[in-house]
Amino acid sequence: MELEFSESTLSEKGVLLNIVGRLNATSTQKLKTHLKQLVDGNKVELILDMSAVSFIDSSGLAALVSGLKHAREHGGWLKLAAVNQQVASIFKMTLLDRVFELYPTVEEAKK
Amino acid sequence: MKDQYQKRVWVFRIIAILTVGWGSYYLFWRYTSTLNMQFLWLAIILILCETYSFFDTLLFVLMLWRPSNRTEPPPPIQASVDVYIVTYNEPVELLRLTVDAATRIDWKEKHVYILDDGSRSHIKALADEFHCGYITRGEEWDGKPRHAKAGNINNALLQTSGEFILILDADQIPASAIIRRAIGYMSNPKVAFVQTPQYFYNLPPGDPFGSDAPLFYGPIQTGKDGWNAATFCGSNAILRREALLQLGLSRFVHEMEDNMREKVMQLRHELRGFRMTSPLQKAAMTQLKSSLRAANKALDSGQSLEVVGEMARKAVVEAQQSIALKDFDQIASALEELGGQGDASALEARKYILENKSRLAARTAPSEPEAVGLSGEAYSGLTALQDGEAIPINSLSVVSITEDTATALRLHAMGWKSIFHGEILAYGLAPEDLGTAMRQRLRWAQGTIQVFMRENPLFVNGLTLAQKLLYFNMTYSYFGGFVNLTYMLVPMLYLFAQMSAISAWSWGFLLRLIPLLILNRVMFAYISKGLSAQRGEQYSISLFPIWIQAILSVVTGAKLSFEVTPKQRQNGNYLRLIWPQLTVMILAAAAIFYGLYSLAYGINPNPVGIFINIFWCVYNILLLSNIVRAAIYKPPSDWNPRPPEFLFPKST
Repeated sequence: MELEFSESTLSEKGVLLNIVGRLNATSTQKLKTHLKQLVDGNKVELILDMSAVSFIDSSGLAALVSGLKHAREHGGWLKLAAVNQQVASIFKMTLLDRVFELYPTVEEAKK
Repeated sequence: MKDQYQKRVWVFRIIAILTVGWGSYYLFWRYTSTLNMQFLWLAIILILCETYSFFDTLLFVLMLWRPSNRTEPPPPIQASVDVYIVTYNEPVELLRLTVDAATRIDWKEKHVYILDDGSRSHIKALADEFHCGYITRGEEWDGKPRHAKAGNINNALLQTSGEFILILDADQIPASAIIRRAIGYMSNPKVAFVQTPQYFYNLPPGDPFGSDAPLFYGPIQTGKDGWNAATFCGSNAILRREALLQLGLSRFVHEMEDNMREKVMQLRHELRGFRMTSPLQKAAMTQLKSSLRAANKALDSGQSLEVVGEMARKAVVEAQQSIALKDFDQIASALEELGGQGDASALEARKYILENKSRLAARTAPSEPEAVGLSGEAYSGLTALQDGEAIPINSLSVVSITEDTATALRLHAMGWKSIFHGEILAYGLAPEDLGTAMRQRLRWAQGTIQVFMRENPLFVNGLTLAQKLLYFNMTYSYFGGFVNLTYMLVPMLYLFAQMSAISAWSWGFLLRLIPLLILNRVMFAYISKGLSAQRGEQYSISLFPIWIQAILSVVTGAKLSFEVTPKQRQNGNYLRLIWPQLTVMILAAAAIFYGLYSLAYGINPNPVGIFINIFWCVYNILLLSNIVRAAIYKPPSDWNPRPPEFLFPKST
């Protein structure tokens, strides 16, 4: 399945990115590029709505970590919201749940 | 008895050696001294045809070189026999005779089954009336290839359990002794089938359609039997279930192997067309490619399918994991940078990830084949068995519309033995009109050529050289259609246009040709002594358009279908069917007149050439006239053939 994004601006630097699909080896390149574009365009305060991401594998993780790194390098941050069970367990397994800020809902991530 | 057999064989061998010897001399002389350079194309065509005929004779001699000498069959063995009566659309009155006679077969452990591919209720009623089994296709065949008669029999094989199977076409009325006389050969556990002749009780006087095959069910089958290459004719034969099952299983494995090979090929092919979405995949792909190459090699070297399948699957998984390992390297270096900015938990995570990298990679590796550039279809195909078939085990070959030849070929290749028992033990129906007869021949020819194209017997492992050559000959002989047409046209070209394939129409030519023709006739006459084989021989030549059509249809890949030969006389205008023969006859007649005219008026001053070619034209007209007679044949008005009375004794 193709990976799809829709985004809404939250503030001058803030963007809410809604991701739909599976974050796997064939699709993550697209996410990686997209995150980099946002950061380069000075959108560095990112909230990723993960509620419609049904699956993530190692390449998906790599894309998110590199997104996080870029955002921080530019003085911003990257929050993950509404992560589903499978995705959460992968974060937990890799200890990346301690690196990322995870929020149960988009609303809470916005606070 | 034995002396007589020895004498017959040796007389044949002497005539055969003389014929082949003289034939070699003639052909050598033709090649070296008689090619007409003026019409080289024509000369080459004719000499190729003559070479074809020479090899045809060689194969014929080989076939008859050491015939079997079976007289009294071995005493019967105790065994259970399933009698299969195979039907699709034959009328119930016809089937009734066969079923009635089958239930009277003198054998204790027998079960009679009607295999009705037409699923007709009145045939079911017939089965009930005679207390025999009734088998049709189950739901598993819905939407699957049905494979005609072969499919019908394969379907029944899975539902009955006799050690042996007697196969009867719907019209083949068995004699009560059929099992008793033929099953004794099965005492040799290597014998897979015993074929008995087909005999027709409805042959019109003079056999206008050339159905009677005394040469085939006599010297030819006996000759092939001598080489353990008897032809299985699809009816009137007893088969060993074990042989059929073994064949079916081995085919099953073969087909799985082919299937696997195809899937591995597909995987490798897909990799070639895959565009890397991330540079990380590159190394993984290289690894995958080499692993799949190894799997392919393992398949070639006879490694078991499970192992090969596992190798291919493992190759994919390893490729996926190697992508994951590289992903984690990337993650680790990103975390290191984050740590450098003061994020302690990033460093902690990095340490943990590096320590547990391979475990994490195994758990989070991209699970879809697409990650490494493969379609899910190709990947899952590796685990799938045969798709598309209704039943996994096809004992009777389904690659051809003549299932019998293909099946026997495979049985022989597996080392099974075959027997031809020449006693008439079933009585059936021959086509009663030319159209039906021609369609039947066309189907046989197409089927045989189809087997040749799919499984060229010359390259089938397990066959002896003689078996290879005899199976090859079955197809080779159909090319005689082109050759005989050429033989018919060449004299006309000479008479009409003085175009000659031969450089000199001299007495020297006749002196070499005539002994060859005589020797050929003597050999054929000796072989067919006491048999009415003449009609069959005429048909083998005059049906040349059928043989040509058969070859062209198979070579061009036209769709062929199994057709049940109608068992009743069909009405129609059959002259239309033989227009090629009629054309040749009219042209030949015109050529004769023109030849005489051109001699009389000095247009062509060579009387020897003209008379030789007129002779051939006359010969061809006479030969082809038989098929014209067959086309306009009407049976006598009181013609009502009945099966022999003794098949249905009154006492019961």
